[in-house]
Amino acid sequence: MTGEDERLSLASAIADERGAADALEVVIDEDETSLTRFTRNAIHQNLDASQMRISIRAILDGRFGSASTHARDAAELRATRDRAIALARLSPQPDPVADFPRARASEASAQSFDEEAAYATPSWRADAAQRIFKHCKAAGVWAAGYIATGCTATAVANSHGVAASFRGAKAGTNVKCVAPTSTGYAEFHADNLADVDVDAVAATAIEKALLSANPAALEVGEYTVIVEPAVLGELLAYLVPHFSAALYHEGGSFLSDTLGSRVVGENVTIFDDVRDPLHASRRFDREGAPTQTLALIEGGVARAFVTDREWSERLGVANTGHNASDLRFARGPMPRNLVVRGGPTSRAQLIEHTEHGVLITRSWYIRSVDQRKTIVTGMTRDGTFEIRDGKVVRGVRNMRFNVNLLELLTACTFAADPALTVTYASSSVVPSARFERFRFTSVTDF
Amino acid sequence: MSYDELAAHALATARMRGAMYTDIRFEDMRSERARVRNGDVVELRDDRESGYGIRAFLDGAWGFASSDDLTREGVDRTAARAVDIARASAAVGTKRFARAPEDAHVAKYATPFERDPDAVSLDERLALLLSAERKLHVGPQIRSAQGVIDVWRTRKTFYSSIGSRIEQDVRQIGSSIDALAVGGGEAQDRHWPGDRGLYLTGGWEVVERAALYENAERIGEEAVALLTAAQCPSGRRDIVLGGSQVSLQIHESCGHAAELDRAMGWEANFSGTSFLDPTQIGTLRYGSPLVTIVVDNTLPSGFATCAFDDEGSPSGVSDIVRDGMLAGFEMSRDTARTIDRATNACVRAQSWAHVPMIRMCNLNLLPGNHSLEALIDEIDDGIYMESNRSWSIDDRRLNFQFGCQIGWEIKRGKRTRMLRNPTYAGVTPQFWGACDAIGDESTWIPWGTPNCGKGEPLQVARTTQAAAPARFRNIEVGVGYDG
Repeated sequence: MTGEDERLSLASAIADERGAADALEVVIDEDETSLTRFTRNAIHQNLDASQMRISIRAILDGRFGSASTHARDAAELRATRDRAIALARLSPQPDPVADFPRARASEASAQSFDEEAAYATPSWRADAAQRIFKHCKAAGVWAAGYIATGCTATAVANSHGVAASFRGAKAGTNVKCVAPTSTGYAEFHADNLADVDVDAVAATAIEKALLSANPAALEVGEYTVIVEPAVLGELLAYLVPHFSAALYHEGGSFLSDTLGSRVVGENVTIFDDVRDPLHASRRFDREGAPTQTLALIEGGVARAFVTDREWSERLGVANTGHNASDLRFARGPMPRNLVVRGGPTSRAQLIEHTEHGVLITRSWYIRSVDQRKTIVTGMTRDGTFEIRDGKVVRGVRNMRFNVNLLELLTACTFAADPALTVTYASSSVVPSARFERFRFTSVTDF
Repeated sequence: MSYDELAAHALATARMRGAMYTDIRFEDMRSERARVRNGDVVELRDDRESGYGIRAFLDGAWGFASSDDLTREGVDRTAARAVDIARASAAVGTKRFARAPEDAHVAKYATPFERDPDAVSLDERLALLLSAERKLHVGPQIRSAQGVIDVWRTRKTFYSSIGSRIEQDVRQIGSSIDALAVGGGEAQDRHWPGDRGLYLTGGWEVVERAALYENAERIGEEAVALLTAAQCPSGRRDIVLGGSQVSLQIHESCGHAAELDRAMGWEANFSGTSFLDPTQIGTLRYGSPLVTIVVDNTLPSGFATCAFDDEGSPSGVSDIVRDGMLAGFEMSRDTARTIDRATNACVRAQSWAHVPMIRMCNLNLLPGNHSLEALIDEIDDGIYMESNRSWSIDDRRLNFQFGCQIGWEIKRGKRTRMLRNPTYAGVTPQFWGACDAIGDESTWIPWGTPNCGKGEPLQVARTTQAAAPARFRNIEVGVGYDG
């Protein structure tokens, strides 16, 4: 990977050579990912991918144009800049709020960079996989999953003097164990290799697969449900767009007519907080603006939406530093680092205090049914259990659910076990949770 | 250095380090996007990238490495890494793969088109988008509207250590408009064409075919009308699905289920497995006898049409479901061998940076003999639904729940009142078994899906599911809502 100073210097140097542009912004994204994938206790895919993308946005007479390249030679970089300027020149009308953020003092991102995670070797990953296979074979199950390591970096610079840089390592694993009649799952993500205990992850997945053997069919209906962090993270991902200034302003968000009102239980506080120690992400957005920590929901009250430079200008509010232009299907700024504060009890205690309920390890294919009303549907997967009189008693077949997220959060309890969980577009630090009214609408035969 | 020279170095390096087979795939990609929203031009992009991915085969294992370093040192380093990765895999566990590829091809291909998008000025593109988007604003309830045109051109050059050299110049293009209406506590959106736009291979004629301007006012009016339309009732009804929704149905319940790597467990921890198994070929009833679904990666204008896949196998046509019976799978060379078949060239990579894997490509439900009016005419009490809004299916591709943007009640063969939030649910073979009529060729459209996700790291593929409207009897509707 390019050195951090070199990357930021390159971004700044390109931004300083404005050419015909009134203003220029440069974003350099660099990613090195190594991933070993396995199934049936053998490696079936093993890869290494590295790339650097240089994205340039130009403003000319209040008009934007964007271009990008992977080339690093000066001639191609100038050609890319000129393509962005040409597009801006061809845009038929000026944007009334066209500008880039101005330079201001910004904090340093948490810069712990784990070299072991960034540069772990194929042999290390293969050995780790082999340990997983050994545990699984001994238990009479097979494993599917991956072990990933690598690093990612972003540098943002513009001709107004903004210069921000981040570099982070990544390591993670997920393991699904398959037994004759059941499956189990576990995952772990971190920014350092030492914390990734593949043996422990495998052991959890094996235990769940064996414990859920010969799953029974439950009747559909409303249940008390305990979800593990991966499930809560995925459910909350469908609230994320609601906290965008764009959707709020357009009226498509539940916030559009409830900002400042109580929307969920008093025990619910949801932050966007990149400074949480488990997140370890860049602390500036795609325009180099510092990302603020915000209480999106506090004590059950809807408090805030996130903005970027454009939406702060349009709405006359502060720029919270949440530009998400790297997300192709995002309609505006987005929270990227949700944090839900846990409660005082452990997950085990949540289970102990449940007379009759369901424990869900993992969810699958959650999708919005009605975005405005926060109704989603999805499936359980890879370790679903019945709880009776405070004990996990048996595995149950997977079920489809249809739930209203705000209603779920009106009657819920959180455990004290926050974990980092990752979806396509965001990551969350969330605990296990118990929901008192969770509706299952159909049952599978597996 | 030329790609020929870089490839020669890469292949030689891999061979010296012990690879029994190597391929290298160079890609030069250009991606253009124009997007307008609420009268403003909000995005004008021209993105370009070049790089390569190298696969090395050694002792029954594959390794993959990619880079955008187009120097001799870069390809040598990347080739060496691919071999090291293969060696690390080979040292662990069961040998997964029997033997290296054996067939080589030398060929050139270019997507046919009628009007070169490069000859269509940005002025013309933006004029179309702005005029269509303006027409979506039929009233104050339309709080946001946008229009998008995407143009992609990918030049691929594939070399293998057994002598393949394949050049392909693939052009893909698409456009869409959408409107969000808000009022009375409701938010409803309508998209055109279909649910994500019309995306195909070809030239500017694909955008013209989308008829954005001609349909914009109606789409805006429908979005507003949905705010006060009746809620879709719950219960069991006969339903007719519009062609783009049938396309989505095929994608989720057949296309993914029939990926052979999925059936073999290669996606078990993420995208899931399949209820289909190769041992069921010829014996499993997948749907009614009217249902025939084929892979056709030569389909004119198919979004995934090209001459060769990303491991150098030639495109063709093959059955997945024939007259309702399971007939085949989407395959790669390695997976096809395990069931004593030849590959049907369904291997794609999102880009040079991604490892090639089995993907849905062009997957088509063959047309029937009903007009849309005839499909509806033969229903006494039912619902017609159009344009996907919500999609969810279990990890074996059986239990699904889908929602559409708009519906109409059918009473005694006629469309009556508009319905909002229409949803339906089912189990795949029972659902396709309930198909009793399919639209004719005049209603058959290849629908491109620009955002199919699979794999780890996640890859996004461009797929096609060509379909006509179709009718299904006695289906559960109105799920997901209390009322």
